[in-house]
Amino acid sequence: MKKPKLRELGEAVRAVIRGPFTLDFPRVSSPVAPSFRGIMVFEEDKCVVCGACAEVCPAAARELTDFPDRQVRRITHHQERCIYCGLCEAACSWKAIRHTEEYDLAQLTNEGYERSVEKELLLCEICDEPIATREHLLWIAETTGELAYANPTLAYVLHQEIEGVEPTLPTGARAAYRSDHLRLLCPKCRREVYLQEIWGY
Amino acid sequence: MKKVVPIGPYHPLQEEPEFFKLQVEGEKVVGLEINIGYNHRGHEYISPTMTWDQVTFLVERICGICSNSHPFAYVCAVEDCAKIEVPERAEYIRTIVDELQRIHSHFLWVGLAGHFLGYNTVWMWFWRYREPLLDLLESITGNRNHYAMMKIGGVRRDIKDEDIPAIEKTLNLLEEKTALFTRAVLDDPVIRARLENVGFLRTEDAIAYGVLGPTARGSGVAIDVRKDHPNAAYGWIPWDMIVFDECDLFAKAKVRLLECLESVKMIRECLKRMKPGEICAEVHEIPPGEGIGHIEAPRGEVFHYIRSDGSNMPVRHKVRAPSYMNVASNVAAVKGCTIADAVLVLASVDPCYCCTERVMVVEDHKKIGDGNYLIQLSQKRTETLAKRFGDPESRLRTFI
Repeated sequence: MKKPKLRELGEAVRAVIRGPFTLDFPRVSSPVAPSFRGIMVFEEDKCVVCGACAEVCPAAARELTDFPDRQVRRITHHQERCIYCGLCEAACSWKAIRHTEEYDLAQLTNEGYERSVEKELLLCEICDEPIATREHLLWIAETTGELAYANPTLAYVLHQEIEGVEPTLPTGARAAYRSDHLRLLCPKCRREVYLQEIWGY
Repeated sequence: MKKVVPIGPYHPLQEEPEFFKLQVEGEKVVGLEINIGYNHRGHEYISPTMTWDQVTFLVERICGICSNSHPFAYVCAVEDCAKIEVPERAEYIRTIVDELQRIHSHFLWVGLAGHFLGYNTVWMWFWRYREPLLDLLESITGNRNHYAMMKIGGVRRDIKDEDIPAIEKTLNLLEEKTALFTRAVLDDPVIRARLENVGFLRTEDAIAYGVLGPTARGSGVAIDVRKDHPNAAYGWIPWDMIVFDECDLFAKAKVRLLECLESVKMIRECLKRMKPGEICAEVHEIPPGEGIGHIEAPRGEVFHYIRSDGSNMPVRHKVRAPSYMNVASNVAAVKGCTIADAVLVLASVDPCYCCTERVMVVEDHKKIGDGNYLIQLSQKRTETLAKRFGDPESRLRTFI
């Protein structure tokens, strides 16, 4: 029985020389791999509050809230509910959500776990239903290119952005215009306007 | 005279909710009553409220140790339902992550077994070398546990070429240390004395109780989903099933230790054969129908069943974890042991109660519903369903 013990002696000697394998944690934090999925950060200027992350989140850690009275749409990330799966990071088209290498979440109070981003929300002219945030509509207009002018809401937002002023409808006897042109409408009201005001149904 | 020694409802050693009533005569255990069901998770209920993609993360949280096995079985079930072809590279990556997870789970068990024996050196050794393995999993998948690798149609993250040297390095370390410690554990006279000829689970009993995984393979039953119904890359690479027919605890320990070495070999083979390519197939929708997925978790076969009605959520999701079968076999294994050995025998199946626990019905502080009651309940349900879907045409409609 001497031989097996001798074989393990090397391991024991190595352990004595190297010292404990564990770290003195709160003072020395363990290094993590670059791919580690840690605490999430939002980049506020990149986020357009589209709500894609809230849609995919399996743990309901994202909350999308509309404040029509203040014309604000808010996305809140509840850090304490997050399961660090990385789905929202993959779903974000703007790279506004990122996992960091931070992992120490412990604190004495339960405050400060929430992070939120607020962006201007556009409401429908007729029914006051929320449509989307201005930045989100602008992004859609940008990606769809000239097709954006087929949609009056997108065209309106683009006009405001480019000209910097409220668009005005052409005047005069021969001005060609439709009453759904250049109006902020939700999809439902747009159809109604189109059918009722133009075709009279 | 028979006396009862209760262990539980909160196990003082394994720190999980289960209740063993050991019936003893003196030092000798003559019978065992197992009560489980103290922990209601509600996974099968939550699952139909989530989309197909989100359920992967839900089932990942069924178990903290084999947290790759449940999503793996689930995605296999969905792929079976939707007839999705998984790219070859994704199959290799799945195999690699699954085998790494198997090594870490077996290391955990051997370490704990050493701790239960009072042999804390074994515990320290195995858990020390489990750390580089967890670090490796972290660099591949992004987390030490809960890897979030499985996706319907493939995997979420690729193994980068620059990571492969690091993987090889850790594998070399693991192989060297596993071989050393395996010999150290198997040669040790004290461990042999504690484990040999203790906790006999005879082959007939193992078959009768339907045990799975290393518990079955230590009792001479050669079953392994990886061999019997190979999924992922298990059918393409050469590997050996480890089976011992000594039927005692030592055989179970040997199976687990040697499986670690086998896993290292399999990961090497996968890395060698892996070719660059797609890691995920395109999935558009899950058609109506049903699918099953079963894979070999470190503890045995994990079985998932899903039924789809064509929407973006499952209508039924059934999970069966291996411990459900393995824990019941303790009744046969623990008979004739002393109480000191019983602790080891009960831990030898590597029980995972959080996987297994479903529901327990209690009325007036008494548990109701034994096996016969459940069979009656099931038959009654079949009768009512047969009445409702009496004519064959409507029966057809329900299945389509």
